[in-house]
Amino acid sequence: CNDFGDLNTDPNRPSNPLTSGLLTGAQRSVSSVVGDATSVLYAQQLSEKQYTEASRYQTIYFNFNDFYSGPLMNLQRIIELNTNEETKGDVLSSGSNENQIAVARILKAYFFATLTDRWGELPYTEALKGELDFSPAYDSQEFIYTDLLKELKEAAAQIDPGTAAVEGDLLFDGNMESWRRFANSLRMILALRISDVSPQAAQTNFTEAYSGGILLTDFMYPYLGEANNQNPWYGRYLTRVDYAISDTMHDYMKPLNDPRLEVYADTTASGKGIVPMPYGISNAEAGSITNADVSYLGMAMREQGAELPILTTAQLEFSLAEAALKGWISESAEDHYLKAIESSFRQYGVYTQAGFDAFVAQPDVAWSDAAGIEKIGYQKWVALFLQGFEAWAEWRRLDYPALAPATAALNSSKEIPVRQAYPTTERDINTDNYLEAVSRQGEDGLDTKLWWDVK
Amino acid sequence: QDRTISGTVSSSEDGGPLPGVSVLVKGTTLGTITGIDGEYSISLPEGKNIIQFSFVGMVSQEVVVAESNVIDVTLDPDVKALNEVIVTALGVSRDERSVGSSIQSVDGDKLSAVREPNLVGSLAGKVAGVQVIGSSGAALGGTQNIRLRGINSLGGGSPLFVVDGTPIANNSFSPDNDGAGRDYGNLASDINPDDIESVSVLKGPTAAALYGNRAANGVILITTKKGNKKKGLGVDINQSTSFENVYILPNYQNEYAGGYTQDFLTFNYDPAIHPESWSSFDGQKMLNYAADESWGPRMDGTPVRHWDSWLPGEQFGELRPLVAQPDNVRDFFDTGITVNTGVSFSGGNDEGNFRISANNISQKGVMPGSELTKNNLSFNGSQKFTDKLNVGINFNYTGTEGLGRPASGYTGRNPTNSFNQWFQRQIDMDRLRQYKNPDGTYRSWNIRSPLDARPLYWDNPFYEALENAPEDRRDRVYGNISVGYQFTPEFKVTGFVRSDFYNQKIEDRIASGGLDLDFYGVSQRFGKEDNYEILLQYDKTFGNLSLSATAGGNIRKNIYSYLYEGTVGGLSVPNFYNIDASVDRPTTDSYKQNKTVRSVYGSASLGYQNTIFLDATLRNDWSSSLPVANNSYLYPSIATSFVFTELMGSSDFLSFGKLRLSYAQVGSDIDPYEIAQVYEVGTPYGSFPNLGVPNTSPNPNLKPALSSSYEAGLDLRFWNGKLNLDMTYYRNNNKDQIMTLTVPGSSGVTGAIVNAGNIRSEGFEVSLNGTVLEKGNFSWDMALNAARNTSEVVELAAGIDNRQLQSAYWGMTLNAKVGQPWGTLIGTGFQYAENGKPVIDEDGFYVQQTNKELGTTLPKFTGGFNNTFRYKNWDLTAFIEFQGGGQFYSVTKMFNNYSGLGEETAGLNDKGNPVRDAVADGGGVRVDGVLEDGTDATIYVDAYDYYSSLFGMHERWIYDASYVKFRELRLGYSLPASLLTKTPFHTANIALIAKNLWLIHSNVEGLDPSEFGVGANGYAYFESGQLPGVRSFGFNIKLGL
Repeated sequence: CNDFGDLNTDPNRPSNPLTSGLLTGAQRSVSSVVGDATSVLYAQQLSEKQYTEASRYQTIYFNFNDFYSGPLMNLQRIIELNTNEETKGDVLSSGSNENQIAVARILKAYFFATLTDRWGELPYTEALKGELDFSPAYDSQEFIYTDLLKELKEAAAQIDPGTAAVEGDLLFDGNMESWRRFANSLRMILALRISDVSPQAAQTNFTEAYSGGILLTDFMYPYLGEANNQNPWYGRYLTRVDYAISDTMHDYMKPLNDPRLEVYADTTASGKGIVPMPYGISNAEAGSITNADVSYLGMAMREQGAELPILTTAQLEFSLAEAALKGWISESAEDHYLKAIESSFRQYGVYTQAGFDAFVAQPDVAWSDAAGIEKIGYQKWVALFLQGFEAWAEWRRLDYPALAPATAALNSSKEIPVRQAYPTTERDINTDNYLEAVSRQGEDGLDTKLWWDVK
Repeated sequence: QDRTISGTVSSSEDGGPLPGVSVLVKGTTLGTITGIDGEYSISLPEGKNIIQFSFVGMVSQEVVVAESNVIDVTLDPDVKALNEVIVTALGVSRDERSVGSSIQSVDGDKLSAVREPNLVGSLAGKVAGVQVIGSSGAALGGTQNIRLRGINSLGGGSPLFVVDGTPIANNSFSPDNDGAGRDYGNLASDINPDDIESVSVLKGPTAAALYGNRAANGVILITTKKGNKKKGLGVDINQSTSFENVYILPNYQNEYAGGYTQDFLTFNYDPAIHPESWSSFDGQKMLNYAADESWGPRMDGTPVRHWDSWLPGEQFGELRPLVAQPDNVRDFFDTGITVNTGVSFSGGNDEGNFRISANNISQKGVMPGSELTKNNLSFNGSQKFTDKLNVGINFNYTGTEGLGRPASGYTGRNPTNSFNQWFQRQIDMDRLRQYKNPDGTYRSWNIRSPLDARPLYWDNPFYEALENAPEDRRDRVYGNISVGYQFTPEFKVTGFVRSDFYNQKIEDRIASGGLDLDFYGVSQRFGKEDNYEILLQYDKTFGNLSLSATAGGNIRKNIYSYLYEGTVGGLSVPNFYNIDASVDRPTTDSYKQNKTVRSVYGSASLGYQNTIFLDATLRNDWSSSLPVANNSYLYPSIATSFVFTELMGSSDFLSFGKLRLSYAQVGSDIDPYEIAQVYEVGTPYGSFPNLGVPNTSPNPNLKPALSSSYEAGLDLRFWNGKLNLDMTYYRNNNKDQIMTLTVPGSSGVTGAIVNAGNIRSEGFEVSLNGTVLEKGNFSWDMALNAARNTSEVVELAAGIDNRQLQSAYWGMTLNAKVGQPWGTLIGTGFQYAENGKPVIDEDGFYVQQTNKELGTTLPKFTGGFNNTFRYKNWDLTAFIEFQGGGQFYSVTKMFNNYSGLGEETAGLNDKGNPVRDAVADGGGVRVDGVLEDGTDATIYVDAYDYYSSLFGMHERWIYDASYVKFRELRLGYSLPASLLTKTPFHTANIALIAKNLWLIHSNVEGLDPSEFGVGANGYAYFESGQLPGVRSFGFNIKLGL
């Protein structure tokens, strides 16, 4: 009576894991990092047009569960399946074991880096173990950063171009050398992030990564001209007009005649040129501004198939400029600084020799060693347009540009958030570990500074 | 030679004639039934001389015919007949006195008094312990959810529906999470109420144990009408027509127009962008059309440019006064019409019987453009081929077609959502009625600016209702074929083949040219359940001892499949509603599910001297969806009933008394495919497939869940059944629940399927019914029932003390929390100081406390009160339903005030100044509270800021769901026989009927707490964009031929 044959075998979902499919699934989630809107608002690159709660810091708790149960779990499974003696032979159609593991480790580090820059301490070592551990403890951000830098170093070394490249790779299409360079580039960025708190480790990792070879072109998320894989900004503007260029961004770029402004923002529907939207004002004030009278995000950035930056050469050049300023590398900080601006101009298709020369000749832009950090801070902020998480993190680290909090802020401190609070599920069902993390790190709110944010 | 015998049968109770008495010549099949006047006439064949008279509830009589051809008979009420026959598990009819568990029966007539088309809706308040979570009549055939005795599993759970022994599906394919979407009704609404003879509600596991693993939440056992011998042709006609109107809407403010500030906008002519002809408009007053809130200028008659004055047409350029439109929302809705027509043919003799019925319901809803048609056809027949062999058939078909079923919930598809949450109060609905421009494009009030007529947030509600109307169709067949063989008078074997299947197709569309991308989606669901059943029955009386035993076996096979396709990226050919028009790769979903459960079961009932009865049942199931090692499970039940009046002797006062005690266990399994690791297939990227590790980890060690239940009851009959009192106490422990435990997402999964926990439901039910007054031609019958239930979460998994069941809009959650009633609402609330006042900050805003318990969703008690009055040929039935307690969160209320639409956002404050005036001018909302330093403070807060700050302040928008509702009213008149003699009819009744005629009491203005039944799971703990309550009046004609 108890034999039902294969009646309970699921016909709707495969039981056989195709690791290339798991990789594609994880890579599609990169879009939720590079297409995020809240962080762009924190960085005041855009303003909300009518319902301005997000730019007034109303939301305190942000959910990280989708990252863990989504891309991170996929990547963890790829590593397991390529490591386990029983399964590693079955997954070779998706690339060599070594290359699959390396790519999964690099992407895991990419996601974890974003997460720790948002929340700080995270379940890390004990995370992603499924039913083996339903109460993962938190690791300190220092521990996480140390491990991420180690992971990126090892993964770059693990890549073996002589064996089969990874399949299902929508980001680099199986180019293993690009993955190696991305690992080094990311390691450089992460190293610089901890430079104020752990300068020795920062310098070592930075210089090591730099000498290993970094990306030479902008690394972009390749959106497609179809609804299932479209640019998220395109989707946001399909039925609504919620995001306009902020007065903060506009008022900095406009006096400098920055040619990127015309790419970043459209002209108003009422034909009044580029008019910014005041940042962080109340709904009533915002709603009383006529929609036709403000400039929305530039069309080029929100076409259905428009690419969005994951990691750009401008970013790397600014990092090198800073490293030179710190004396980590014996190259010219000014050269890298100018290179960075040039890269950004080229990224937005506004580069002309004359225009560039005129732009960088302006006193507010022109390099000076003394004001190096400030110069980098402002120009990097402009270059990191729509790279919200990176722009927000670098603002926290460099303390440039000087941003004023939303005038009608809704959070209790009325200050710009310097982190985001854990999802309430952690508080409710991972309580002990959560409380331990909070006791180490500080109050679980928007105002607790992260480990690397010491200035 | 035959003789004709005639006479009148009357009742010894009141001397009145008894219609419907069966009159039979003993030893023959010759018989008749007395007419409405109690008269009969029968032909007595040669050699026969005994006539039997029998009638339900009366002592049968045999009369030996002597000389006279006229025999008048007086029948006495049968005290023993107080033990009515009721239908119990497996369709076995039993003497009520022998039943040791709680079963409550309702006659079909009582259910269909006002012709409620959905059986579930008509059960509301009629059976103690039943809670119906209804949906608005505006939903047109929307889901009515039912709960028996509270909550018996973490996920809620509803009873099993069984029609003549055939389990039928009662799924609902309405949206199950946030309730945003369209509701296509619950599948049990396919039953034609006119076909129902009676409904037995088997409330707990004890009564339902024999139905196995789906009966943990009880069973609704429906017996359909069968043909029988009766006077006339056996044709019944039942026709009703009723009219529905929107009844309940929130109270709106009618002082201020749309916008964000009280200042008018002014049109500034700019030759660079405006046509030259607009120059004369310079300086004209405008409204902020882009706003979907009503904090704008006073509606004081000032001439302004309304939204449509910027659109082409003769109204272009008009300045019209800004005046209030108090009835604009009501004006949007139509008067609905429901025409319900049924006819049945029945007949029978001693060898066989049949009944055929057909019914049509055609409805036009209150939502413009919504229509629903339902056709039922059913056939019931049985035939004796020999004295021993009997074959029966039961067949039911229902076809449902809907057009434009309205959306509910927080979605742009739901015009009510806009009217009550995001709207401008000055809008004249008639100006929206013309929703197309002369060039065929659509026009909306919510234009972006004079130069840009595209809607910003909201399409025209008429466009929404009329152009985006979905179509749905469901075909449903259920029934059974049975073959029974009576081996001996005591022993019978019956075999059944039962089937229930449906095919439901839903086509959804968004018309080209609106705010959203045009769209077409089609889904097709097929569900089928087959049951192969064999039942052995043995009944024997040995002296004082009676034995009734059954044994059976069943194989159940379930198939379900789902196919969905939806366009992505818009339609390549405008308004061409076909998947071929998908601009990008369409979304597809194909799903199928198979499951088999094999069962054996048996029961034995022993009776001693018709006084003490002992019932025992045992059932074993084998389920394909559980791991092989754990897929067999056995569970017993035992019940006893003791008719103590048999021992103490009955008196005139207490004519019958029975004590019931019972205990039962019921095991449950899970849906298929939860025990092995699989991968989710996601949206591909180009040609790259996309897989994912599922968010729920499987469990290869699952075992069946077990609920056990104790029950005790007392049934008392006074004054020969003039007053009946039934009381029941029960306690269910639902252990080892199979549940998807929410686990920290950082583990890599967000859910894990486990066996854990215990939910204990405990309660008390009482029903009291009887004849209050009976005098001459007047009688007054009443039935009152009430039930109190608590469902407590005793335990969850180890280390887990809360499980979030669902999350409503903006962070309010429904939870199962250990030590609390199931359904704890958790959200953001006020912080209270020691003196009970809320803590406020120096600007007067409330200090928030997150993660606060804000009440529980389950009502404390439910019940109903029915009164029927008869005077001569008149009958009046009035039915009131009530519920006490239970909390819910109203998103409608939150945004109704947030956006300045609600009545409370306007008017004067306690200083006598307009509350919307600036605080500096004496306006503002008065806030009394305690500052964080502990001092009392009274601060006036700008009204807009005040209501904005209450967004997400869930506690402010939690309401008590108690209500008293005058649900049904029927005033009928039976035409006297004298009038009918010249017609072909032998009965005729005309009636006025009304439904939902008065929400007598509710603690929340503008909403109906009895109609939160959005969502397939029926959690009913919040509402958003609830469709307006609908009241219906009509008339009904019943004719018997």
